[in-house]
Amino acid sequence: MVKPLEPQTTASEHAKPPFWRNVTVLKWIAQIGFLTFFVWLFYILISQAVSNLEGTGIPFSWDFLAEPLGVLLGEGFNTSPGSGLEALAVGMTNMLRITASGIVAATILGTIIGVARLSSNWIVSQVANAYIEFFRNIPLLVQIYFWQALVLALGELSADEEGAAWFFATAKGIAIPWLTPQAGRWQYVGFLLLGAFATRWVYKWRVRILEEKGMETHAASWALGTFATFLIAGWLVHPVMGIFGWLWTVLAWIFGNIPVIVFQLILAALAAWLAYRFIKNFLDERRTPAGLAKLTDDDYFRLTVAGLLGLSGVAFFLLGPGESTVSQLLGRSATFSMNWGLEPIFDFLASKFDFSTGAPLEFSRPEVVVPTRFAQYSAEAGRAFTPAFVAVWVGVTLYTAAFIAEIVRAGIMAVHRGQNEAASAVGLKRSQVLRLVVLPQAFRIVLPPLGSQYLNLAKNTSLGIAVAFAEIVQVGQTIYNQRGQTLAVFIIWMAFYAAVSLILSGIVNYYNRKMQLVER
Amino acid sequence: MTDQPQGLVHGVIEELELPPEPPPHGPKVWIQENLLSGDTPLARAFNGVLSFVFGLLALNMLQFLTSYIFDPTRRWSAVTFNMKLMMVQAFPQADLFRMWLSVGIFFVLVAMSIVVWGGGGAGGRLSWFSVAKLVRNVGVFFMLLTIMHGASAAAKLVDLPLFSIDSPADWSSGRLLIFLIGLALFGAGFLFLRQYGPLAKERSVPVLSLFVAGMVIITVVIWVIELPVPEGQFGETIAPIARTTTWPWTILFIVAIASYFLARLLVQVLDVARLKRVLVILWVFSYPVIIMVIQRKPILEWGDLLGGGPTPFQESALGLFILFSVVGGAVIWWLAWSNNVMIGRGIAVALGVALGATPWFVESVPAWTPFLAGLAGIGLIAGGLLIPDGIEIARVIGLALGVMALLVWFVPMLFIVRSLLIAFAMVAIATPSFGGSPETRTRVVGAWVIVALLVVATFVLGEAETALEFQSTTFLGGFNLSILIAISGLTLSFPLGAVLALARTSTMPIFRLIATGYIELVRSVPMITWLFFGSVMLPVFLPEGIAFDEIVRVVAVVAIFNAAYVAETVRGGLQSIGKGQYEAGSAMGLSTVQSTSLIILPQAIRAVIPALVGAIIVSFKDTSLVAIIGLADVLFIAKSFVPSQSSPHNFLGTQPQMLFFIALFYWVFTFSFSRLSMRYEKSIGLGEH
Amino acid sequence: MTDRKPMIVSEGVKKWFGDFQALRGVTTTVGERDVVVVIGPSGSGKSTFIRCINRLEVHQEGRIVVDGIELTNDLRNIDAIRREVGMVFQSFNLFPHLTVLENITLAPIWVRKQTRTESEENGMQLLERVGIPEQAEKFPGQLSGGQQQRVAIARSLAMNPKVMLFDEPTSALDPEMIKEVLDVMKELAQSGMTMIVVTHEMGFAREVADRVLFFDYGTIVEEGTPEHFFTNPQHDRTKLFLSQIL
Repeated sequence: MVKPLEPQTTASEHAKPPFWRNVTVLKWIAQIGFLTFFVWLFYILISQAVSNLEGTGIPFSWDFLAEPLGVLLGEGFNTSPGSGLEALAVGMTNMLRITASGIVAATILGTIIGVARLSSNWIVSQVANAYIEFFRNIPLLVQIYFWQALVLALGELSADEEGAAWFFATAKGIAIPWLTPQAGRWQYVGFLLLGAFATRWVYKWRVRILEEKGMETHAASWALGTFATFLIAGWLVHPVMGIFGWLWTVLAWIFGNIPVIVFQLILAALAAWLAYRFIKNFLDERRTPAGLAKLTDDDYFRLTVAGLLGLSGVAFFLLGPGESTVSQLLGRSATFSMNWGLEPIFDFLASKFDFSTGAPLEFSRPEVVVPTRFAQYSAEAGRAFTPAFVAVWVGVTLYTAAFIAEIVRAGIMAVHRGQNEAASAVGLKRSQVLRLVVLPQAFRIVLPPLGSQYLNLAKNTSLGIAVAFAEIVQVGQTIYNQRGQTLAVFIIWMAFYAAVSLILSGIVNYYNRKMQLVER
Repeated sequence: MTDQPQGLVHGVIEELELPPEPPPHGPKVWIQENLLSGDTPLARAFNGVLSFVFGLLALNMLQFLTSYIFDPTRRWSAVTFNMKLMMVQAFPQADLFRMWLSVGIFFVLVAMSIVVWGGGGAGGRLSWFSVAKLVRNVGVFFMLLTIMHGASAAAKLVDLPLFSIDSPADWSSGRLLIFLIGLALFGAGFLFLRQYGPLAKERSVPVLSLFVAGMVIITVVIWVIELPVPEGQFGETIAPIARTTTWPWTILFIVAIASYFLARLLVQVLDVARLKRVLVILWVFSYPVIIMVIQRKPILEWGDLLGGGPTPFQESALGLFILFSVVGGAVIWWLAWSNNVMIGRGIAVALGVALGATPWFVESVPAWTPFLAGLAGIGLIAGGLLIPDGIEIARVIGLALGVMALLVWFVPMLFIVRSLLIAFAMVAIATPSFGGSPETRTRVVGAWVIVALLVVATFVLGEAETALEFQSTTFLGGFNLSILIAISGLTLSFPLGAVLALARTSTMPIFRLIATGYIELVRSVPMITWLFFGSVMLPVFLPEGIAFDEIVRVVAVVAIFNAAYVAETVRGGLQSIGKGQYEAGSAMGLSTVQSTSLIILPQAIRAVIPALVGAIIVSFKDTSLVAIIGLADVLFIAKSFVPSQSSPHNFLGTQPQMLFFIALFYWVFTFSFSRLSMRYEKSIGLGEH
Repeated sequence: MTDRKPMIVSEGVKKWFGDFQALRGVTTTVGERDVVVVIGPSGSGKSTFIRCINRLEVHQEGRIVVDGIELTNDLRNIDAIRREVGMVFQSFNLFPHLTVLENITLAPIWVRKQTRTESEENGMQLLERVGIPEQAEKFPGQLSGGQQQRVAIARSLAMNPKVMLFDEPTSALDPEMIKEVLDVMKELAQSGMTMIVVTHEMGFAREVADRVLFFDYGTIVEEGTPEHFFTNPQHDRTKLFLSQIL
């Protein structure tokens, strides 16, 4: 049927195009060329920076992490840290503390305002609307300054206020009663972790009975009851958890005595195995009954990268950490890296699980010990918040709540229309519709934008520097003002925030995926 | 067609049924429906309680605000006396006309753009009903504002635990005046609605004319109303509300209105498409002209540009510019329409010799560069001689220029020359895609000349020695600085962001990787750390002898930061465009670069305009962060400069109220901007193609 | 079958999407001025095949030669093919941000390097040929589906192609608009354009086609003249398919 090809059409038969016209080659030349350019640019900038720093007499180094600093921080678990690393750790915990509590508060407030915005009650919805429009249209920095000014305008702590009280709101800060953790808290938390496992098991067990027998088993109430039991029982019996102290000791001994080469081999093997799995899966997916499908250049690129990553992983784990850079940085003995940090962790845990008795948490009221001063900002007498903390916390919470309210409103509106009518047709009450139908679905819609608001909140805590709140940026600035290591401090900032972002978005993505699964 | 109801077989609709009359309504019905709604008595009672609690809350907030504003101990003269300081910092009094000229240019451009893009019905219309309602509600707000002020006076009308209202006998005259204005507005709106209520829903008025009315009212107010001045710096006890700015504002309003009508005239006479093009060009150039020529004090020294300045850059700037635009222009001229192969061969051989030979004769270059350059040069010569097709030679030459620009980095030379070479290489690589007929050829060469001009100008103007004026108190500062940072940062971030978005959605994995890494890294770190990076770290990365002013560095960092966010926004637009558009482009023979820039990007950007406006608002708010690194923007001046003044007026301790004012100031800007963009979105019906 | 000079030659063309093989060796020849109609069930690879002809999809084995130019990774060849081969899509794929006339003149200006006036004159002629010169200044969104598809045809013709590919050009249209598009295509066929048309319009195939290809499972199951094909199909799968759609 098909005529043989005529000479003129066969003239170019399988002529290989020269490389400067080959689309695939050009595509890769462009990419590799740009990558080279990019790496080169980085190299130029970094080497320029290093030589410039040497020129100024402050060569780049990590020494400040281990050396004493002699700075005082505004607040934190240690206000006069002994080393740069400790100071940064204080900054990080302060930042995480304000982020975590801010996220909780902003979510609650934002949800209330978002629902209020949709209320059929005119005044309620107008007040919510005013709140949203007001807070989201003013720069957060202005708001934080304003709250600071407001707190500082409160009355001074006068001398006759000495002693304990329920509540102080003064220019020195705000103090409230607090449950202060005691020595037994580690054992208590361990007990509660056991309780969480037990709760999970009970819940599954009741659900299984429900599915098998078709009877109402009150799975949720059972689970709640189990956890409550642990919560109460743990208060009294948590010292039994001290048994685990022995286990931690043994583990610490084991990890301390396994030669480091074992860890290296295990991790190297893991890297090689991961790369192997990826390549194998990739090829398996392209295997057809008729044989291996033809691979495109992108496929080859992916396989090459996977292989290279695996190889470099193996090389890194086998060659690198014997003399770990981390341990060099810390100026500590090589033992830190030798056991991958597992030994100190278990040592630490072992010291905390020591059969200590007494209540894990203790209630206390704020006190003014020295005239015109609170006992301490993180002491066992209630809890006192510095004006800086209050300004930043109130600022980010109220600001983020306005955005969360808009997200919640949009989420509810998106579900509202059809679902509401359908649910009403089934005969559910308004409150039931909201609780059973609208909110669960709205939650799924709002989760991704909510996650990005949480990230924004975490990043916005860095404005604390404006009111001298001792979070990581402020601490970092203090350090480089003293030691001149701007580059090192900047690298730490980047690494810390990137890690926080990764973890936060990881959590949000995890829940998001779980929600999507429920949908199916 | 398909919208027609299926049942209308006869196709004739006898008469349109009007919707049923809405049930009668009045204050009682309104309260029942909006404050006490519910299906059951319990629900109604609950709503009633909610209404009461929230109403009380709202009143309390209002009372807090009013007692704060009207408190006799407030020194609002701190705001009015320092208005100039906050807007333009210490810009010389005698040169203030430069600022007014800048605002005037902006007003004229806005007025003309409204006409050219919006046509006669720009801004839409508002029914008299809504206008009257607005007037009535503003009146209520004014009256509430004055009534709610409490707590200070002894004689109280109402005194509840949560709020109190004092007796009108204690009111100051200003407060009484505001109350009376509120009463008058309320009465006017109320009576109008009562008289013409239903009718007013059908009649409407253009929004723009309301704007004009607003301008007239403001003009009257600033001419008529006078306020007491605390201690007479000017030897007076009472002064007009806008004191020194009465004339400028009046003139500006007149100019704005006049240019609106001028534009309406022009639209009828001239081609609209051409007018649009001219206006776009004016918009683009207005900004650099305003900053560099109009506001710069001392005026831009043309000598700086023409050479002979204090630094090597300025000495050689003009010559370099001419050299590069002539020689580079000639090469681009050929690259843009590479139909003569012989010229191409000539260029290729010449470039090859230059590329291969230069590093051998230059000392202090890394040892490997001569060999690499030699190889590249030989390759270029061979390619130029062997390749038979003009366009392909052009591509190879473009690539070679790229390599060359990288290699010559190691050759000691002026930094500006390096930058020019890199810019030239980039333009040369892109040229074969955009060249073509003689028409486009001129355009590409023109583009290169503009790029060269921009590079040279950036160096000459941004360099520390000439930019000293930037930092001194005579030039940028205050709100003017905030605007500068916001606009420059955004303008620069758009192209970068678009490129990043394209790279992130590209099919080429390495580009995707780099773009994703950049975007995620930039976004995960807060802006303040980037600002520190710009102000403290950036100089460390620059070669010796190159120093940019802090403002330039901050603008660069803001651009780098915003680009990541713009990229994510544009990426959303790119993903909304069907694969078919790419396919149609390539089926017609357009190259990837062409179909991206001519087909994909214009559509993607149009699709994400609302999101981009959101990004602009966020960026405007974020400019306040420069106060932390100590730049004298409006926030910094209001928070630190003003409250530290003790003479000629004592404004010590006014920090809270200055912050209150700044909050209001930002709020008015961002709120009205977001409302305007919402209106615009609705009017062009975005999202419904 | 045909003794005309071959315009498109395909030999054992194979194509995979991941592990799914879309084309399992397609071999055929289309002569100059031939009108070939390709039919087959959905997912049979017919669209993939014609998309391979202008390299919107890249075939992985076998060869395709268009007008003496083999489709390889060669940039020059790809540029040349794209200029020679016009394509009309099922979903029109007009550029919504450009007017009808700008849609048509875009490629001539940027690819053929024509001047604006030249290409606009040519564009108006083409709009007259497809019968909608009065719509030149409108945007695609303001036109009906049939008009949009006619603009798309004019847009492809503006590049002066030697071959036109139609990928189900009438599938997305309301019934009353199909005829106006088919009329334009018939006129084009009579003018001597080489055409490959993927379609379900059997009437068009009968009336205009020189040859019909039946695709199934990524390969040509049967090919022949319309008379042969509709009156006396040989293969069981062909018979089954025809009995289902006729």
